[in-house]
Amino acid sequence: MKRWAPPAAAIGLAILSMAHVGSPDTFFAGKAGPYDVHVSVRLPGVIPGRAQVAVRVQGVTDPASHQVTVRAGQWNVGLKGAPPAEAAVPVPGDPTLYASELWFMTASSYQLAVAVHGPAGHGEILIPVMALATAERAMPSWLGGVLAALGVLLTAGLLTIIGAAVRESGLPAGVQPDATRRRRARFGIAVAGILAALALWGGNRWWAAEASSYSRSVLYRPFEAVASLAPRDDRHVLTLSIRDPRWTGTPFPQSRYNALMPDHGKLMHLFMVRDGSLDALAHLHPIARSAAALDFDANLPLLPAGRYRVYGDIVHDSGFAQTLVSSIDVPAGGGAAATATDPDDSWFTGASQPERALASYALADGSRLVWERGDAPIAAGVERDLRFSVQDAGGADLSVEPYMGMAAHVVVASRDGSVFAHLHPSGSISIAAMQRFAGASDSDPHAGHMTTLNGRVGIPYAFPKAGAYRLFVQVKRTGTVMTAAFDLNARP
Amino acid sequence: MTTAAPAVAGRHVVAQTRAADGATQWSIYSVLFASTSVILGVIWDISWHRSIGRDTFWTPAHLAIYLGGVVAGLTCGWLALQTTFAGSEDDRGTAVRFWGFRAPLGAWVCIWGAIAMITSAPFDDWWHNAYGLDVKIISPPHMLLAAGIAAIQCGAMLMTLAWQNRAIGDRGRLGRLYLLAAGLLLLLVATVATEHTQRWDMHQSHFYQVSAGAFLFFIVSTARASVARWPATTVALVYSGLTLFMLILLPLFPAQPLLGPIYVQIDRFMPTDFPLLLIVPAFALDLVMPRARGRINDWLLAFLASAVFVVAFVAAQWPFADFLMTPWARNWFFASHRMPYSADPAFQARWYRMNPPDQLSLGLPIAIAIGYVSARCGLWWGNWMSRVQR
Repeated sequence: MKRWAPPAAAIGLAILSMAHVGSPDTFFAGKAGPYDVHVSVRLPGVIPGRAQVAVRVQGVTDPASHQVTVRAGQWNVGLKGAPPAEAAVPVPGDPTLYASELWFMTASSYQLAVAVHGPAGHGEILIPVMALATAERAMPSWLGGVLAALGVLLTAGLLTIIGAAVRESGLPAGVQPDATRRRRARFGIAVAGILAALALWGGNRWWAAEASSYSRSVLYRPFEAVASLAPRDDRHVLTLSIRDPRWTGTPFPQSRYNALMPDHGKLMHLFMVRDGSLDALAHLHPIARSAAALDFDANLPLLPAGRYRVYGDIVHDSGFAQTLVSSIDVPAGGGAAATATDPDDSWFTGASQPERALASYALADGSRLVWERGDAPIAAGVERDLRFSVQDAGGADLSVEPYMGMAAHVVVASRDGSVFAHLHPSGSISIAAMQRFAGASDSDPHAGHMTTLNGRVGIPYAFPKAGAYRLFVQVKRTGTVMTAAFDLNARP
Repeated sequence: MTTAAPAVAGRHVVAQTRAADGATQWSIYSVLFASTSVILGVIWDISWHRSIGRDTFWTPAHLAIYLGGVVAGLTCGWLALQTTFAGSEDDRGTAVRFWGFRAPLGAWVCIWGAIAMITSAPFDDWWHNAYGLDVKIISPPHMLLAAGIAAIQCGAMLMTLAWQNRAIGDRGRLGRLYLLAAGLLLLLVATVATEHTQRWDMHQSHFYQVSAGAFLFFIVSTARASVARWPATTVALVYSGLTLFMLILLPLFPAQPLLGPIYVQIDRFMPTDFPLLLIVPAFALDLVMPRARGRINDWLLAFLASAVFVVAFVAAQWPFADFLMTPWARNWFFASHRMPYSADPAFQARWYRMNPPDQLSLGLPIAIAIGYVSARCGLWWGNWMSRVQR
């Protein structure tokens, strides 16, 4: 049986780095020494906050036979500046699963060290995690009601106390306040009422300023970017321009927004998804126009006319990865097939297959890309492996070639445009960041994310919200990148 | 209704006598304990966040804070019920009305503070969920908590004050209890102002402007309402003594940072900063204020107090700040070498570097002007406090 592998077995390959849109949690599959592990980091939505970390150690039957610890260090201090490792405790009912909580204090890039100790010895892996604040939470109405009631009680109580203080507190024992004191008390209450109103108004303004500061400084916002299209010779050039005060072209090394890190020799990986119909995809690698890395140009491929969502993945040397978001209108005849900017550019136009327990998509070379969803429908927020294989007409597995170092690329796009993610067999992590962190430590920079091409792939992921999605799955065979498309509906 | 004068005098004497006998003063000791527990809990909690970082509701520091709130709230709640429903005529006569209930004014302030503290808890919890764990002292829910704490301390002070003002016997002992309560309140004010009174800013106008604005009000008002000698010096001593106590005590206990990034590896609880030398301007105020009383009115006295405070404070704190930057201050007593785990390299590089003086020729007169407003308000407040009987 042929498998997803070139003749040389077990080639370790990595995929491009990426951030995501609307999908901030981290999912990883790989090896911690001798152990196959799946790791998920569910962010708390706000930073500083506590993330939920789940580690699945494949093949464990007795949870007590393994000890799992997790530890997170901010990118610039590493594990030397990290708190002590936390023990992940076995989750009752699933002997392979261990869980822990981790604090992330800054909205930044972290390296998560997952260590497993068991009968096969000690294994450890460094996983890049983006600690992002993505939630803007309104106060629940019941809590607002309770606090408002207490606020009214406190305000009324304060005014009453001030009235009593003015009216009676200075009187000798037993003496009743006269009319003058009562009048003064009423005046005192009025003045205090004005002051209390001013204090409440000022407090409200302060609260609003704090909320605004959180939105501006802590809440994740990718760099502002603008996509444009300009004719050049016989083609159109798509330009994604970063126009953001945080990115001036002279990055500060100590900042999380420091210099961009090339990923497989490419500073940006750009995706175009046709809006609405989701029936066209381009996966391009634009070139920075100057060392300042403010404008990135790519020749527009042959795509049907329409409005496209544009996503530009970049990763900083800090390991901080982000996806720039814009959109562009592609005119009819705007692209050209033979003018790719980069040999790894690819694009796709075509219909999709609906989800099924076993969905199959016919590829251009006659093979089929099979998605084994299984009988259970996809549920939002529930992690599961997206399992794919390439098969011939008889159902035998076929090998694939590495496409930019990976067996497969999966693009997740929600129909409403709120979610975009670029996955690979190692999960959702940034491999460039992983290599950077591994390089900074003494560990093997390729440990853990080695993806063999000699088997089917299972990509760990949880769809972040309910709704309709399209999956684009890209594989390479006989020098040609081929794309399959599937529709799915993630249930609440 | 106004009661006939002889009867008033008679009951007054009874109330004054009871005020001094100590039989019913347990409530004063109880609220003073609450006031102490709360502020030491706050200082402990700040140290906890600078040393360990991670916490839960159930840390000992939090429990000390809320123990103070509970003790004050229950004590004063019981006092209100007892006075209202089972109190003697004298008890009710030395109480103020509140929605049909009766209790001493300070008790109502304590109850208000306890409710404010309770209110701040879900507010702060939601704040953490909405904006993340706030790692600073000054945030809206923390200020509501601080208002509750301040109310408990203020209530404790008013309760001791009313007893002091009514007493005809042991006024000295009650006067010292009042100054202890006032010193605890001053400690809270200094703690809240910490972010603006750092030692590397002690050559800058802002430091003296904040100090004059925040501290003069409390020192002057306390002194005005006190019957004891050296009242300003005493409250400054309470503040300095308790701060030093925590400064020496906290590093005796081990602590390990549990949050990252950890820039400084520490193994002990972070001490408080060395107390500000408020004792010097307070002593100067104690020299000036009694002598000026009756000779100049309060408007002029406020100006004099402010000028004395700023000049004396600059004269003491300025050179002392230089000393705190020297290796001589890097020991268990001055503790200037203790850095929180979260001090990043840039912060560490500035740790022993004084920020240069700014426009002091303008800044210090502004500090005196701010201090003037603070002192004048303090005199008003002190005059009112000196009349509090209930």
